[in-house]
Amino acid sequence: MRIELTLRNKMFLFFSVIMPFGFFFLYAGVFAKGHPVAVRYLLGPVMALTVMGSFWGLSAALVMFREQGILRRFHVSPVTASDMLASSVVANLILTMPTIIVELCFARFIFHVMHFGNLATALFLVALGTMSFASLGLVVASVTNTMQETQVINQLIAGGPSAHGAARRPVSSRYVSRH
Amino acid sequence: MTDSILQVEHLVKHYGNVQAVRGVSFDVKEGEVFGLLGPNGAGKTTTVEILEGIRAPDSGRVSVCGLDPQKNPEKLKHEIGASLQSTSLPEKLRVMEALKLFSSFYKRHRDPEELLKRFGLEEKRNTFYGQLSGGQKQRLALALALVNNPQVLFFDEPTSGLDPQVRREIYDIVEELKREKKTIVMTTHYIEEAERLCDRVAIIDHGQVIALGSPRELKERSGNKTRVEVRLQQPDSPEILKNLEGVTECRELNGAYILQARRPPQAIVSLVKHLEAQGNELLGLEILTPSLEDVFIELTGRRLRD
Repeated sequence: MRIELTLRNKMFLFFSVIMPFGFFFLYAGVFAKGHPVAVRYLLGPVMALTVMGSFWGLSAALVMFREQGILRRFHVSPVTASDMLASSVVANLILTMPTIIVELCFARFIFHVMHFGNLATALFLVALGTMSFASLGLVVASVTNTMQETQVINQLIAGGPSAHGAARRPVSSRYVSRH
Repeated sequence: MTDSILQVEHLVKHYGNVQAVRGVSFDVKEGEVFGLLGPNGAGKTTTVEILEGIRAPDSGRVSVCGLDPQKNPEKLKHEIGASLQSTSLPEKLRVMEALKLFSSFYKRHRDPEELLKRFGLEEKRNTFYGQLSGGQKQRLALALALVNNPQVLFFDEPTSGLDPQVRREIYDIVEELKREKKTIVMTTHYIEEAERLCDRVAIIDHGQVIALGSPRELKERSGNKTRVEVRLQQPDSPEILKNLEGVTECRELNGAYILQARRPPQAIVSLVKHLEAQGNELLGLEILTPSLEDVFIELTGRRLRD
């Protein structure tokens, strides 16, 4: 049910599907100009941004639930706060993993990336990252009262890793041609 | 009526410097519909939320189905059903999904299909919550309160903000539950609702129970006087009106004069004679049999809606 609800949520669709694929095609198609080696190199930041999408979507969705008084209704049922949080993290993981797999498939079949390194370890790290960022999103949701506050804190938290990722982004065509 | 299923003793709750509940005590018997009647901000919702276990009291003792809501919140939630003052669900959750979802939370639960039929939501089973009307949302909230076939039901202002027709539909549902001998604790600021649905009523004002009893008992306690509400062209003195034949009391309220009369026809005749003598005119006259509103006015000097 939680997964079905999440799939009907436009905010989730934006942060966890549209935004990651947008970044994927921006990085692979524009920055890497479709070159397989460069696409392979940029796949890491793209996957990291997909993982971080869970952080944005989950914190915003949970604060929205609280603002609308939805959590209150669950509060008078036997569902505990930990049940709610665990279901959020698990649902998020179940929904993020297919996005990552689709990104890998796009890289393989559209941009002809042949080598992905240790795929099992990569997927393990993606799962770990998704759960960590989802948990961080829940922490943000627990300390903020309004959507505006959530956005500000999310920007502050996500700003660092995003800037770090951007600084390491190779965009030179000479770099691409050398590989 | 048998033993008490719910007891509240000397309940106190503060929000910062505001004392929302000041030593509230009452008990509710099994199979009883018990009403907490009072104006907005009287402390009704806070009291109910403490009983539901979603708020902690500062002091006092509470027992619901033999359980302390603070010590056994999980056990208690299996025994109670609640419809909050404003129940909200995810906009994209369908009616049937909501019933199934909430049913899944409980060990003991009712058939969602039966609840759909009972609350007239069969045609809306696949409709998103966000697309329901106010009345349908409220019916769903009541259905959700019943998914676990609870021992005690809490309805916090179940008809607030609904139009009169929907309100009557909700009354019918509560009356049906009453016939099934369900124990219901409801809050309201509608006199009609309390008089029609409740076996006993606690009138709450400024966080205190100021009167408790069946609607009939409370009305009898008010002196069982008929109220004659008059509006005059020119102001008159309540002291003079009070001394008219058949009138026992008079007070001015929002530009009207409220005369308490043991013999209303005599009081009206003497009032008309008095006005003629004064050259004053009667703009409006309303005869009201005693209601819980009278009890409230008598106890607080204010109307419930003031």
